[in-house]
Amino acid sequence: MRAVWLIARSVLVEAVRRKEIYVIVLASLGLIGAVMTVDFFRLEGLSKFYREIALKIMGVATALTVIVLAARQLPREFEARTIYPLLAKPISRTTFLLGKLLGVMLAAGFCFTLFSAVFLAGTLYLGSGLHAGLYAQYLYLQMIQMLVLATMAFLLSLLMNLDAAITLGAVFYALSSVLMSAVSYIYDWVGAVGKVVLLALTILLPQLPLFDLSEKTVHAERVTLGGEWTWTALDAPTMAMLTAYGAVFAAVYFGLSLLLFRRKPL
Amino acid sequence: MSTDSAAIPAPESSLRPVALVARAVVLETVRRREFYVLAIFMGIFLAGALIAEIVGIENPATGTFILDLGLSLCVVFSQLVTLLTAARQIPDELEARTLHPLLAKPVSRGQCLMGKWLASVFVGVFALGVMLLMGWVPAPKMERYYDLTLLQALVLQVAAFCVIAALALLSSLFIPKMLNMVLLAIIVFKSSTIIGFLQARAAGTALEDVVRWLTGYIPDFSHFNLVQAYTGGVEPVGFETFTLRLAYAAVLSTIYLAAAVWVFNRRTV
Amino acid sequence: MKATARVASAAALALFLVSPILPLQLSTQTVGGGRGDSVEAAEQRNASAFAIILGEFRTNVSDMIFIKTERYLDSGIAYLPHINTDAMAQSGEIETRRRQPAGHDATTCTDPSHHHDHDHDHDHDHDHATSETDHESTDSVAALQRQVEQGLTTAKMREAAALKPGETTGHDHTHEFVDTIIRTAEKDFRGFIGHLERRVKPWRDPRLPHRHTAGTELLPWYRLATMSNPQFVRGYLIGAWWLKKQRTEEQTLEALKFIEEGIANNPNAFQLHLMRGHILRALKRDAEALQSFRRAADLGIAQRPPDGKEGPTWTSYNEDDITAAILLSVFIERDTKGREAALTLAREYRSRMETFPPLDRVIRSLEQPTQTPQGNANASDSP
Repeated sequence: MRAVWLIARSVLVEAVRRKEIYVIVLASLGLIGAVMTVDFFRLEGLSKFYREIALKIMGVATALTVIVLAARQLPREFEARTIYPLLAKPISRTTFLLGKLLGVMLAAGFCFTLFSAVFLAGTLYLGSGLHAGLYAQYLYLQMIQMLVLATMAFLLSLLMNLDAAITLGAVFYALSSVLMSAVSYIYDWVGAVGKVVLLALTILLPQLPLFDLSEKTVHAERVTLGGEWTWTALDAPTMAMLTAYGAVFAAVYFGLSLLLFRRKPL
Repeated sequence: MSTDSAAIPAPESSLRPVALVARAVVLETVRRREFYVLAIFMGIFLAGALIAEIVGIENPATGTFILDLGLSLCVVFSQLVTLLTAARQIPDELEARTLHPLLAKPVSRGQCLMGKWLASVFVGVFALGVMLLMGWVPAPKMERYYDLTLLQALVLQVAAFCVIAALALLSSLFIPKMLNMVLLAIIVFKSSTIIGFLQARAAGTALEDVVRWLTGYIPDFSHFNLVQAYTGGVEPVGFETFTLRLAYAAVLSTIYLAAAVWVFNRRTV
Repeated sequence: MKATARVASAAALALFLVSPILPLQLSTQTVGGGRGDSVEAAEQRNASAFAIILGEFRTNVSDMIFIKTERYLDSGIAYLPHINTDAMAQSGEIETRRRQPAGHDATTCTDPSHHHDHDHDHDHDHDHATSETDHESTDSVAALQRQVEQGLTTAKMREAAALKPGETTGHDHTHEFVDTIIRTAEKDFRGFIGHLERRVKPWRDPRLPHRHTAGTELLPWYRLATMSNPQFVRGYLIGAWWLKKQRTEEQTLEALKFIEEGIANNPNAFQLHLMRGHILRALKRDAEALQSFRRAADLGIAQRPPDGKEGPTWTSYNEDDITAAILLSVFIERDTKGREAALTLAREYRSRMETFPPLDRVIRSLEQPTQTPQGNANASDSP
């Protein structure tokens, strides 16, 4: 466990030392700040726009950070030959990979913490309502999504070169909602074989939009009449199902990565 | 290597080393199987074509929508390929310590940069050609479009590649690779939004003209994009407008390349 | 060699310093989006199956705003956008249903929600050259304004315009059946994944009544869209329309400011001058409003094909707008300066066009001194 933690800490320290993470977070915060400073026709109480922009930037910036960070962990170790002294120590490859994963997830948590602090401060400043339960669930599900993306990036980086792994990871992330709606929409249009293929795609590929509660968080508002929220927090069984769903994909991708990593000649 | 002698290479002696470096970069790109990225983008086009085939195209406006989407993605992806290729050149050479042997040969730093710039532009043009086969050739053409507008759009894209490659090489001398790629992507794809945002914020204030001038230093890649004009059935732009856009690309490329050579000559490798 | 390098460096620096001249010059030479800018094209492409599959993914800001408007007014719920402004203008209905694959028809379908018997695709194709009988719609200021609004907005937008953030439409739309993009449980083949999607994404059973929410939340998007693309004329028009609909003087003045920014960026977009006229009338600044309507009429006549026939750059919506600009100019001229002045202006406009039936009718009315033009009583209808 201590070895896992040490490796994770080195990933986080390296990410922070290279300052990339800071700059991405700062650039994103700059964008959020710029949006906050715009006077939208002296209208008060406009909050959906701010929430949508902020949550979108938060999600995209963290996902890209995770994909890039995770995808380059293993290739860089091989390229710089720093993996040899590490593995010469009594550290198993499972521990090594787990440490890397934990490090990437800590970096994701670091990003979300910074973003959240600014987002919540902005929400308070603008005096706009936020459904706290939905927001907490949004963050939790985003972290599960990052876990899936990180393990997927590990796997891709072992299957292809670094640029291709990053590109494919980013493209899959960017187009996952299109993929999900395409499969759902065209199901009625295809024959029996096509239906099987679409069903297989639905089951075998992680449906990343399921981890994105941002739309409900954005559009949740107190209705003037009655005072109830337009959208409420998800119930516990749904959250449990989503957790299990993400965990399955993360475990499969991690397992496959480990398999390839073990077979990779040093 | 003397930094001064390498600053501005004489035209005749410089051409061959530049071509050699460019060739080496292209070969390295192929050797490292970086066409995987291209294959990924092509896969997206194939998926799009398959979906269009399945759901059909209801009316000419939808046909134009698909054509516009296809061409826009061609442009975005080939710009991305150019950016990734150029931004990687110097950092990778430095990391792999392969720059020293290259510069030990009778190749000046200026020639080295020019070769890498040329190769990056070539890779972009190649990517655009391949993308067009996937994104434009099979796309429906159900309304009236002007071929000359398309030609102008493509020429301006090549001009955009020149600017992107030069800017990427310059910024790669200051900024870590991954960060550079992210920042460049923001500039290439969102600069007109940023410029519009800044100008609109300053509109009506005493700073309006100053901000308009200062934002002129941010490269605005929307001036090189005529895709929507083509798919919207707009006639070719006039000679003056077209030339002005090319001149804009030439000026930006020259400035960025000159700055890159200047910085590279003073940098310890 | 050193000297050459120094000269080259100095030249590059000088080039850099003066380089903003080029983009500044280029910003005055914008290239329009052609037929892609038309409302009909936007509706058709965004309601297509291919566009629905893409969700909110769009390559141009106009389409992105189009989709965003739909989502925001329904609390984020993604309904199938089979929108037809003209159909809505005429019937108050939105025809929205999942397009069905070939072979799916009334004889094979058992789904009661499917409307097989009226696949009406109105194309907003009423022929203005022969619309003599339809003159009630253009003979009063209020009617002209309604016509412009209908060309610019959807029924849903007009309904939501008066709502404040947090308010929802109080009545149920029992006459609508609008399918959601996310499938209902009965139609979903994806099992638990479909279930999770319906839980995670904003979704309501499409059979339940719709509740629309305030459109003011969209205003920042219009502001940002016009900031990033100052040539997005429709963004200025709809943004100003939302603001004017707030019906407070402060917001109407903001609407005026916004539309004037649009005019500064697009001086030849006659619709912007028309909207400016409407806003000024709302502010009771009739003399300035008249100037704006006349400017809109002048610019529009110059852009209109002499016969008013539709083409890639001239749509039926353009024709509606120019009709409004011309007739409003004439009506206000009549109300402020008298019948003779209005007749002179009307004849002057008429001389610049081959055909323009609405104006012919108004001229005939003005030529009969004892008879009040139809709708005269409404001529001063407040917008």
